[in-house]
Amino acid sequence: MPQLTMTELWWCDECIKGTALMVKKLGALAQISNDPQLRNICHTLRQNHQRHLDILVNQIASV
Amino acid sequence: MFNFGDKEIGQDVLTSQKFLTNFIAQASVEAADPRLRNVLGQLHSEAAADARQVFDYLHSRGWYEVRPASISAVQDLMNTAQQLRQEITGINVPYGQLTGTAASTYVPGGYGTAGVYGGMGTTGYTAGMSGGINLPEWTRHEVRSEGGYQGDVIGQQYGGMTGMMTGSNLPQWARHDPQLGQSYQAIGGQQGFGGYQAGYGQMAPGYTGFQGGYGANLPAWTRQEVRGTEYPASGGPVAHTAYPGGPSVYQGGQIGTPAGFGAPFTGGYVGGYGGGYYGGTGVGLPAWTRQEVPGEQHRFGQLQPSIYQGYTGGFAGQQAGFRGGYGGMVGGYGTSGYGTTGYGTTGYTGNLPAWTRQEVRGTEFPATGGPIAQGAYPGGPGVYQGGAVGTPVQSVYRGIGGQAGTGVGQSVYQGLGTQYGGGTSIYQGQTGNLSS
Repeated sequence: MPQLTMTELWWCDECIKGTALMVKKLGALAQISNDPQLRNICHTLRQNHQRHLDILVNQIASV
Repeated sequence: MFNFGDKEIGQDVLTSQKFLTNFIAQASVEAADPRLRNVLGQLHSEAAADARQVFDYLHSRGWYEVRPASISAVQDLMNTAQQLRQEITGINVPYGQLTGTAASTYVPGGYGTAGVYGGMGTTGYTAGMSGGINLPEWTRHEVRSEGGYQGDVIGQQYGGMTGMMTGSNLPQWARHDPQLGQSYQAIGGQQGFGGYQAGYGQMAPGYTGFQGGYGANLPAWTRQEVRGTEYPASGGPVAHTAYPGGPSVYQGGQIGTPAGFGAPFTGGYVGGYGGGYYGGTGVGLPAWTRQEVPGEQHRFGQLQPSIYQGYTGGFAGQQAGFRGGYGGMVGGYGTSGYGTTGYGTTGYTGNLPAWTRQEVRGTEFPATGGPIAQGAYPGGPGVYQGGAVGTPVQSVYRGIGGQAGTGVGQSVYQGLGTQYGGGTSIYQGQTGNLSS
């Protein structure tokens, strides 16, 4: 099984942190938005970021 | 309290989404592991789609203005792009500018029927030899090949030099071609590079030419034999000719003397090719330069034997010039089986020492459908009538091929010659004849 390089680890770490922050942020923005369309967009994006976060974590765990 | 409405929410989401999208893209290209790279690439694609979704939302509500570019701005960009494309892919970009070697630009004079080649889009063979400032005076002769093509070799000095050679030092005839009006890039020699880099373009003007030359100050590794290229004939054998080196200076064509060379496409090309090649060796060069330099043999098919005047002329010119200082006598040997070239006889000036008067045996050229013309020509007082330097004297050479019971090759050289090693001369080769 290949081992992650330090560079890969750093970039994955930053991606995970940024994605996790977007998940929190989109959840909060969806609650304060007035436009249902915008709220729906925030929900969709939040779900996508949540899924991305899972993918990244699983990817690192598999290495 | 700050009013954080839907517009600000959407803009904040888009900004964050774009940042994260770009970050994931960079992470993807930084990944060494292919699986991780693919995963990140997929995430980037999806994140970009999400960003587009937010952009469309903002744009539909007028919260994300996009301003169309003006026509003039687009045109400016197009001009810039076009210019860059020409710089990158343009055929007029000399090597020298790309590699740091010397380069010079000149436009060869009207010579022969060079315009024909230009019209055919087969221009571009140029050559230049840049000079080393420490080279002797004798090297600073104009060397011009025959054949009418733009394969003229302008030698200021042989040997490398660095920097750019503008065309300012070139003779006037080299700067203008009334028929073509095209510029040619002549590539000067690289410093320390004794070889030769031929380049000839077809369907592309201003291609490359010779590169290099001899320089007395060049490092030792450059002092090596430079062997010519063999060109097999279409339907005929490869002709080998070895030219023993010696103190000789090829003096090419004379300015403004078209001599009718280069009528066909192939004529001039070879002429220019050969002229440059043989332009180097000379009396003042050190001993290492006096070695064999096989010349190129260019053969063409027998379908068009008679129109290659330019070719023959140019090629013969280089032979003549090359051998001029050597003093040997090489008989013309016909290759009438092809009707191609007639190699002329070169003589020597009366001032050459006796040792130069040696036999130089001609080369056998198997002729298709005909006997082999073989010439053995003992050296002797040459028939070359060389005029004084700067005083063109028309002379005729007739090299009679050896008989050897097979055939007689004949070729005629007409030249305006001075002395070998100085001045300029023209050798007009004509198609050889073979009769048995």
